[in-house]
Amino acid sequence: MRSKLALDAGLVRSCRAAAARVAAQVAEATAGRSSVAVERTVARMLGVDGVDPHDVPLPNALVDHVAELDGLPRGVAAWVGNAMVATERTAAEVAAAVGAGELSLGELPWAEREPIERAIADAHAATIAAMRARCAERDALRERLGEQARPHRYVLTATGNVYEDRDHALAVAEAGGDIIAVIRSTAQSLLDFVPFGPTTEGYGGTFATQANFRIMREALDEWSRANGRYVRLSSFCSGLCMPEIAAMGAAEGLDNMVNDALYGILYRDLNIQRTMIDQRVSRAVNGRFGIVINTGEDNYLRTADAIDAAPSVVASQFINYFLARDCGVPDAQIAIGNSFEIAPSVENGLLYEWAHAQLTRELFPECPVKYMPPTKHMDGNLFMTHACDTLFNLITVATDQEIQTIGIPTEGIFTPHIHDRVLGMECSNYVFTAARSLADEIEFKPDGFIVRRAHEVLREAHAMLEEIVEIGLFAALERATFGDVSRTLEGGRGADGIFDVASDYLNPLAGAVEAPAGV
Amino acid sequence: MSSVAQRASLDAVRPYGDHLDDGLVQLSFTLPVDHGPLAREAALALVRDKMGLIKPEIVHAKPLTPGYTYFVLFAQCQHAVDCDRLAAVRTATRAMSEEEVDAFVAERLGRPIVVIGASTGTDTHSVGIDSILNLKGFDGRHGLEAYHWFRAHNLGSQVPNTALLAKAFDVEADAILVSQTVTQQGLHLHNLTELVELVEAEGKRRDLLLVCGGPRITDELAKELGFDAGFSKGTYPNDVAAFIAQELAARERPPVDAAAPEL
Amino acid sequence: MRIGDAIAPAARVALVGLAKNTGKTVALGAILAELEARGETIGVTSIGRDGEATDAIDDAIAKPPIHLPPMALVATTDRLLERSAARTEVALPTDHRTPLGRVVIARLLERGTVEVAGPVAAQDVGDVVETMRRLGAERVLVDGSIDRRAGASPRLADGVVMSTGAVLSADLDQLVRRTRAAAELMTLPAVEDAALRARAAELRTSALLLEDGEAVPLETAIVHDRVEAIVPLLRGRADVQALVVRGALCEPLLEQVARARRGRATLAIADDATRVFLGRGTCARHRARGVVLAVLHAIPLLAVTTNPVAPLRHRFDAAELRERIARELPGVPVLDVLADAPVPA
Repeated sequence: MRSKLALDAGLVRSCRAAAARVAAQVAEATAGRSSVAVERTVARMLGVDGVDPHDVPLPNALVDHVAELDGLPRGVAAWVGNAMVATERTAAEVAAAVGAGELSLGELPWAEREPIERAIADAHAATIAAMRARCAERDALRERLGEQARPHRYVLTATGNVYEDRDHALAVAEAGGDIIAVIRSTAQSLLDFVPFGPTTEGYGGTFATQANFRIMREALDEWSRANGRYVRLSSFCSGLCMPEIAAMGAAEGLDNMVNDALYGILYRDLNIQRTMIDQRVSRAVNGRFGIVINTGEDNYLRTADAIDAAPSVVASQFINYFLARDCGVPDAQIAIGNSFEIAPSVENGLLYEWAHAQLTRELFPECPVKYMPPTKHMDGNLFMTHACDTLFNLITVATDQEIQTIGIPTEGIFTPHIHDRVLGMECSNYVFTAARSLADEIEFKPDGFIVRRAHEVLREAHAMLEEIVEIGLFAALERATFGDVSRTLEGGRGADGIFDVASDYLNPLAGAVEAPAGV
Repeated sequence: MSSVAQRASLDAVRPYGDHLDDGLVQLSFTLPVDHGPLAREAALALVRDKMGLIKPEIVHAKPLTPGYTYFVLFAQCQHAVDCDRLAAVRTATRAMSEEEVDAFVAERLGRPIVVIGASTGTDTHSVGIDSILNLKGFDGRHGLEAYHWFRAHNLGSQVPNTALLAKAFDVEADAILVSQTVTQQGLHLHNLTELVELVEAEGKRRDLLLVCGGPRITDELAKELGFDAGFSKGTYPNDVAAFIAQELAARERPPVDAAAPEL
Repeated sequence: MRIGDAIAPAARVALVGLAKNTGKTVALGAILAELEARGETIGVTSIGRDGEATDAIDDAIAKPPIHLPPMALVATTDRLLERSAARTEVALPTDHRTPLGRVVIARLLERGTVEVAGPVAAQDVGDVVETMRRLGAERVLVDGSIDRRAGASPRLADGVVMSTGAVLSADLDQLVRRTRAAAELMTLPAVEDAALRARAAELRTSALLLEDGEAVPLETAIVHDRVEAIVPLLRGRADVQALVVRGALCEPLLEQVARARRGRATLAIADDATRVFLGRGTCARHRARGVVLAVLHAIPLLAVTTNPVAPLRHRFDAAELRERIARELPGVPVLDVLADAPVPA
């Protein structure tokens, strides 16, 4: 891609170098530690699923049990493997027995290391093989049916009932949607467990559960086959169960996942270290199974001024990009976040938006940037929101974005209704059709407003990155560098779920983090 | 013909399109019915026979997916409301500016009022509480932090009720403010009632003013939730401050004649 | 059994719903109709609001009016009384202030409907209940609001009627489970050991009671906020007899207790069931993890009413719902007041 903004290549290289160092610092700071969410993911990757008699998910029952034995530093895999050897049960059977209170892992004698490792490796390999098969099936269907031209339209549903979500998803597909995401029930990100089974009631959304993933993907597969066009499914690997949800998504052949620790830290007050540890495993799983991840920089512009905060968005995009690369996620699967949030009253606001959108596009040419609609200044005047969305659609197509979350007239009011989403799609369809080749026609005035603004943002982002390298990402977060929100290293939710691993720690996923992407 | 448009009398108010009492309203909705003549007739019948509107006209109809059709309609409303009667049940707090509130507190209480606020439970929206409490306020009116006679603590969003309460005891708050997004499905109602119940369980209900705010919160809902007041959209920091100040003053010195207004 | 019989032993009856629109007002109407037929003088107050025309959140949901017999005492507010259609006299104005005006105790001079809206704070409700008794009410009904339980406190009421309904869940099994869990919570047993109960009742702050008679006081912050600080206090101690919380006993603390005690049985004591706050967990789940809940003052559950309809959403078969709930709650009268005794219009 030729730079229309004539960006300073040296400055871009310097930004990348700084961000890569920041990401390496994070990896170093979290090395040697695991979390309860990571251990629950290990349990799932060994085939553990379902709930105990008190409706507690078995991965939680198992990890809680090991924690009560003070046994987490060895890794939940070691305890399960030992029980598998001692009782000749599968990991799933071991977890069920623990959940039912019939088996205490602390009462079993320790077997030799070698048979334990073998039992775990076999169980893990079986799960991986099943996930790989499901994702290969997904890739084949997507390849055979094909998708629409980009930008891909990403549309949310959020009814609280997965069967209603399914109907909304089909209406949206009918209207031209490319990616469907079911918003999660309010604050699922704060739950330190993943609910089990299909959801028929939720507030503000529908729980991400493996059963719901399957119901949605099956409906979309059916629609895709009937209509000769593949429609993707997305969900959210964020919150206190980042890696578990990644594993569930891989098992059900999801296509995309919102997957951003920084979002959880800033907007859900999750503990910095906990969520960075979780993110590493989560992104490794997503990277490995071909799932596109979305980052959440767009949100900074909702809590901070959208013009002032533009450099912080770019700095964060660089860091998030390298945090993903470090986990083995290839460029084509890193959907960097950005958004259209400048107040409608700002003179030349559209020109600022144009500069910011084009800049992100050019900085990450191989990444499918995800562009988000205006929300901050949108209110009960749904007709005004519709007007703002029209300009947002124009910038989306004029700057060649790859993924667009569509704007919806009523989103400043409530969780939009089925027809509101279709109205949003109609507006997007109209603008994309009417301005399809606009990007090819546009050159920017070399000393004009847009080029100067883009350079200014990049310069300031570079200065921020240089500073973050010096003080480290964690201190930068404490200084409210992103979104005007300050978070401390020790504060936030989920800190009590972190632990140092012992020298004999067993985790079959550990290899996955270092393995190259796409394995 | 008069050169001045006719003005409505407040005892019978109807929607207005382009002339008085035309009663024009626009509607849009989806019916869970396949697109076709039956769906159209259903939409018209619903508006005409069940919604109390007359002369419905479908101006747009569109199939969404099998089983769902979207409509835009116009119709006329024959009913009217009596605004004078509505006014009778509104709250009795006297409106005051920032300066008036400060002067009132200085004179009637002679001590600063301590308020603590948060968006509780899982609610991630802090805009409401921020605009009431933070120095900056909104729309050019300062938040309570700026008031001389208020000590405001804003704990932000997603604060567990128990943490809010612990902090309220810690700072010896006079009032707790919570903002909450209440949706049609009653989202977050439980968070609000739980706070009240926790305060009750601690035996502190009489010592604390509880105030809630949010897009759908009314005085009626506040009463059901167990709060002392409810504020909705369009509320400014001085409205909240005026209520808290006047209510605390009234509670400190209950008027002798229970029927007389306290101001 | 009719609902009038079920509440007979209690002079002060609290009505509690498990959520909005579980049919609490209909239950209240049924009780009023039966008490009227028996010629009792009734007093009614509400910690929320009752008898309003439509729901405060969803005005598509019409609410039943409250028909009161002549001479009944009702707590309402000056502003609500002004717009009521029934002929009433003010028996006693009060100083209790609510968002809807100042509370007055009114007497009906004819059969009619009045919006009920008593004081907000439970302590004030207690005052109103006593006042009504003094003014001649033979039985006082304290209506709850949404899912609030404070009115059921043994300080205010001698027993509780609990309303459950389809609105809780579209899944019948789930609805039954939640109702059972709520009933179990409401009827937490009183501490059996009289000596232990006396020691717990004497405490002025939350504390750990030890076998040797000593009490380790707990800071409020540990009980509410920094709950993990209880772990080192409990770990490895064999001599803890009970955890006593004066005030609100909340789930996060119980979780930490279970973590610290690793399955060893621990008794957690609250004043009464309205002070116990469980989120996701049920009493049974905490028991399975070793934490047994008990109270100083138990609340008699007089009856459970079932409402098969979730307004504007779904409905269950009325008989099946009542049967299912009754099976889970042996010994408790479970009634569908609309099916059993239609309220006169």
